[in-house]
Amino acid sequence: MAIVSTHDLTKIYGNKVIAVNGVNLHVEEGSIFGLLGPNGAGKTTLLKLLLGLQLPTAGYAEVFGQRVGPNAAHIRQRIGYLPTNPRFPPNLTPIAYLDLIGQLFGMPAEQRKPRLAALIRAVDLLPAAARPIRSFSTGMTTRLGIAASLMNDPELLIWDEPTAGLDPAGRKYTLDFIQELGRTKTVIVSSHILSDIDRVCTHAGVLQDGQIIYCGTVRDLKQTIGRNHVELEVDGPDEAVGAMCKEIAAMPDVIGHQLRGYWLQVRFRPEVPLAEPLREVLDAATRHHVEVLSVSSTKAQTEDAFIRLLEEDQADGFTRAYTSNATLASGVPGDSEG
Amino acid sequence: MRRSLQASLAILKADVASLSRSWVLRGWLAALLLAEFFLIATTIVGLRSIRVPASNIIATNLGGFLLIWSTLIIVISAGSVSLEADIISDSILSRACTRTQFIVAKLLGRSVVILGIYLVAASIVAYAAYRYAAADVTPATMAVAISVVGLALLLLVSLGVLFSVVFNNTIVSVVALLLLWYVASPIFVFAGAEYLSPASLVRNLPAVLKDPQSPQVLHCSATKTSLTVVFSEDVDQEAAENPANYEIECPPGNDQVAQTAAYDRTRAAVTLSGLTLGGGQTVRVRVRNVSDRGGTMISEAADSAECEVPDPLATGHSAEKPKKSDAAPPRLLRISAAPSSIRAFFSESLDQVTAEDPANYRIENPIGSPQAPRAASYEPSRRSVLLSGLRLDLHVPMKLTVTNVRDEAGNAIRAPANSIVQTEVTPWRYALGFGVPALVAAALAVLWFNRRDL
Repeated sequence: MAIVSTHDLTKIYGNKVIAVNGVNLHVEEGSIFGLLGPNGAGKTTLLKLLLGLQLPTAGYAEVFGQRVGPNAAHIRQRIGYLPTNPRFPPNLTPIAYLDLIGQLFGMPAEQRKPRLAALIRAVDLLPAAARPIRSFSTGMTTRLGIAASLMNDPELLIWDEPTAGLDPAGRKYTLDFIQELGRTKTVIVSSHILSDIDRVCTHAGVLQDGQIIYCGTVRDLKQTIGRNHVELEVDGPDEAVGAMCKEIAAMPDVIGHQLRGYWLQVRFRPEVPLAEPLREVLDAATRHHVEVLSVSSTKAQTEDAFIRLLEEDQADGFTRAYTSNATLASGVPGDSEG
Repeated sequence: MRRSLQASLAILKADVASLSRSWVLRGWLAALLLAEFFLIATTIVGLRSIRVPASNIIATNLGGFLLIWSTLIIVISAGSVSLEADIISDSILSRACTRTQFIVAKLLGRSVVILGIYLVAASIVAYAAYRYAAADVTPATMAVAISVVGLALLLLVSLGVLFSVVFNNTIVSVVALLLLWYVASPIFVFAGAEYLSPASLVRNLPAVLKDPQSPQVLHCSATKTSLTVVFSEDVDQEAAENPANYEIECPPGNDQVAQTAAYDRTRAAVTLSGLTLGGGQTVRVRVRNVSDRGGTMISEAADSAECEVPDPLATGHSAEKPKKSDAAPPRLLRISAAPSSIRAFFSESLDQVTAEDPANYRIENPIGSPQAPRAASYEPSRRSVLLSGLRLDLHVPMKLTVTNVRDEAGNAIRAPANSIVQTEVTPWRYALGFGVPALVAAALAVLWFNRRDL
């Protein structure tokens, strides 16, 4: 069952900027959905449209089967939202702020107080509980935002770039937390950091220039576009590595390669099963006495898939626009789910 | 419903708490405290020798809110939404809270704080002025004036929140509101929308505050040694018991001075004794320098009375009264206007024929646009003429000019005492002028905020 769905959702700012363009998106209940896209792709706008913080220029969004609008408090009652680089009332302490949030959700004091205490402890803000929010670091503010988004024990979490500005430890903590929460809740998390999505998400949507160019499972994303793409970490004399690369380039099933330092990316023909050409590449390394330290990288695969999607989208831009126009002219709703 | 109310109250409390930490508000409170202290101290200590009317002191204080403190009120209200736009989105409106709840709570929060401060300060100064200054006001007129100014401040708050929502930029909102409040105000007056103008309200505050009911002499009764004068309302006892405040003639032309004067508050009557009055003679008494307890001086239109000293020998067919000797022309004292009529009050009894000739009256409303009454009806007991069949706009100045009207002795009314210009000050017009736009601005703020991206 789709817990979130959008229907030709479009947002144009002041007849100048098209932020979201006819997006049809469906997020299934229980999934961890990653919204991928470069900076300025429209991720934050799309999430704000889902919350009713922004008003659509055309189309509409439904959450829990109900239309979202500015006064859809009953829908937001079931959502936990973490904005990107969140800003909270600077003079309040975390306790005062979470208490306010609890009151907004209509929680009685006997339920609110223990809940906020548990959350402050859970996000490790206990030592800073008496400090005003204005003295918080980025990481602490994000952790407070996480606590605020969980105050109402929501069914749906919408987290916008939760790892932005965090140090490695904070990032790992947040990603682990998303995985943990994903066991019991539906989570939508946006990011332009592909490895984060790759690590925690079951489903992904790729947003480019306000349009969804892919929507499906992360596994399908990688298999569709990146399955014949491996990355090898190699070590050996430059001459030997060079000779190996020449031999690899001459292989009939290899359609491209690229050496960056110790990393060799090799792309095979998509119609050929991966095992045989990969064995030939490893044999070539053995012959040239080049040591292979590691093979493949999911990060690289996803990244490459993502970049190729964007490239293809740009290349097909005119065709898609033309098709979309033709579809509109024929009165059939367009499908931009990639 | 309960959850919705809890959310609204939570935002309201948070906003009031946030305001209480604002340095603009703290600065205002400090400056206001100093100014009010100075005003009260001046009223209590400095004015013992010079009795300044309470209406002037209260009007100065209320005018300060409209013309000086309004700058700070503009800053406080015009930054209500725009100063924290991103915080509102991230921390409040992304939760279970509607925009209507939020903006209504904002409007209420700012109004409660600003009007609360205003009401406390205005009430303290009003009480001090009423208690210690020359009290020409009544509790009712003070309440009306404080309420009307409160509505003007409410309009300012509503406009501030509206501008803050519309412009989403505090500096632009503040500048726009300053321009509207201070620069556009005189334009409203010129455009005939006087009741939308805070400057006009400041100018008319003393008139709103002053007790509109002057005490009057209703009638008198005499014995051979005393004279009792009955007033229309309770008057100041000290002035009432001063015999020098009564000019007594018996018979007319023969001055007499009372030895003592005793005031009876329950009857609102003073008994002047120590007089030698002839039986069957007419006694004329004129009262001066007597005011009501609010400080309003006795009406010149009704400051005298005539009565006859009973003559135990009279059979009921008394001799003809002596003819009055009167060389003074009548004077037009004041007018009271209604939408279709004007009542004109004169200083003495008039000749009925000339008084009831409509051609003797010229009304200009507004000044420069003359019209004539269809009928004029003289009422001897009130020394007034009711001019009817008019179409008057009470919100613009009007002028009445009387010609050829004579008193009973045949003296014709003369300039300059034959005309009066009056601008009717109707507080409820100001209440509407500020109250209705305040509601409209609040409604627009709610509507606009509901149509805005965050």
